[in-house]
Amino acid sequence: MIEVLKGGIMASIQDGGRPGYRSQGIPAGGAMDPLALAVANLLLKKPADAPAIEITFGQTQLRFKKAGWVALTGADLGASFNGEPITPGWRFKVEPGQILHFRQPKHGFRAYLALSGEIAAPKVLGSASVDLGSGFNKPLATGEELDWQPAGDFNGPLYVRVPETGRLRVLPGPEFQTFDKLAQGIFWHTDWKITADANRMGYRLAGPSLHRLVGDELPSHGVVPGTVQVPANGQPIILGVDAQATGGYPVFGVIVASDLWQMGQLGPGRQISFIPTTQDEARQAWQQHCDYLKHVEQYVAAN
Amino acid sequence: MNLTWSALGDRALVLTLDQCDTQAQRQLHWLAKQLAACQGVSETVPGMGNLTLLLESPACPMAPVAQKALALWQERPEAANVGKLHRIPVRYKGPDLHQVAEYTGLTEDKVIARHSQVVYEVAFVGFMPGFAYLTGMDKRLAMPRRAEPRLQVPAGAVAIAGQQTGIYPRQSPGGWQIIGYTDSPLFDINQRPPALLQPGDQIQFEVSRD
Repeated sequence: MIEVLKGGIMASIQDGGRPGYRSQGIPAGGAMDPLALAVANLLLKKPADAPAIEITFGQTQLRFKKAGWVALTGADLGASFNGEPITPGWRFKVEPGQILHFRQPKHGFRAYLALSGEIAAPKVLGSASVDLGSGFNKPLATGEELDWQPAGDFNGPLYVRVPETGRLRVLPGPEFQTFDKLAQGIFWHTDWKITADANRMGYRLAGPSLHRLVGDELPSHGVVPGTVQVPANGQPIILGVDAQATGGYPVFGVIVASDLWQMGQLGPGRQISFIPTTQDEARQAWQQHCDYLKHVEQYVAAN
Repeated sequence: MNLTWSALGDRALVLTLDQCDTQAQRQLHWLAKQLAACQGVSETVPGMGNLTLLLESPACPMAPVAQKALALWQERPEAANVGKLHRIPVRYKGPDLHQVAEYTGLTEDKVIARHSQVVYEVAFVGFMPGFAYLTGMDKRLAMPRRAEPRLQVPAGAVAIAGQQTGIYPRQSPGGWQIIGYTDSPLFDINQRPPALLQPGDQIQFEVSRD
């Protein structure tokens, strides 16, 4: 068992999400930082997309009632374990009665706590992920108890370093050419501010206005997380993993798959900037992303 | 009718028709079915006059998938089959029925008759799980959204917005004009597929008196 002493802002079970249902109007969902989720799970020799706890911003407090192994990755949310500060990237053993306490972000925005063995979480369409917009499952609530059945033992604590966040690589989208040259230049050279209107569905950005050459209404089409839409007010919106499956705003560009995890580590008030890229570079970046995870898996197996 | 494609990032592409009518939309649904089993494609998402394909991985080359889609489009059947016909009983007692009658200059009975006498078709499903975008509504029933959206529209609400009509699969906020309610379950996570109304399906609303 794990007792939720404090639920915090938005702590929820997240996994690889529920892809494959967009034609049913269902978002893909899942961890906002799938890289941190994968590393946390791999540290415990679990599948990369297994369910873990996503802690947003902090304020969450958990008390373990059983002994077992856990792994913490993603943001540094000022966590302390049993009173001692603990940084993300670690696998460690917990004992009954010990408390993991997240305060507020020092670096990044979302932390991931993977648990060895199984956490009992209801699955909707094959995924334990909480999706508030669709009404699938619920965030962790203060006073709640999570049914945790620890399993497996490890040689000892282990640390893995996660890549740093930086500029996000963006591929031009279907409507890129309908923005004038000035708007295109502004987009790449602006340090956009993430507004308070930022959640798992999407981030509204504030900055100079992006002007379109044509103002025609567009028919809705399927979208993916990381899609950069620009509504009539010229202020971009980046779609998150819980964004609706189809959208009708002009698509300026799309964040490449290998950089999408960084969105999970950016919160309201933070600056964000973009860099243009090509399909070839995107494919190479994805290869590096996969190589990194393979490397983590091998490192854990060897230790 | 010309179909073109453009990349949507490194793991999806959008196929777009330069013009679209009911028959072309049906042919897009036919194309979606053909491509669903295609190598490298993980999801097909119909939209309005377009079809989005998600790749299994960014490592999958995009151009061959696009070429396959465009080649299949050339082989599309003249008259693509329509989907299942659903008869949906509606209690036409919505809180905005009166306003719709007033706005359109029709009597409430005429609004009900015009809404229930046509066969609608699901263009695509989006916005929320199981929400079907229906085409075919009588143009006389077109009406703007409510100035003040409701905080809670109940599941099963049948409503009008602009030239569209639809049914709310679950309770949610919403600005559409509610003209009636149905008890038909529109979304069930235990069903496969979970949405009752699938792209290409046909819908006939039936007046329910109870």
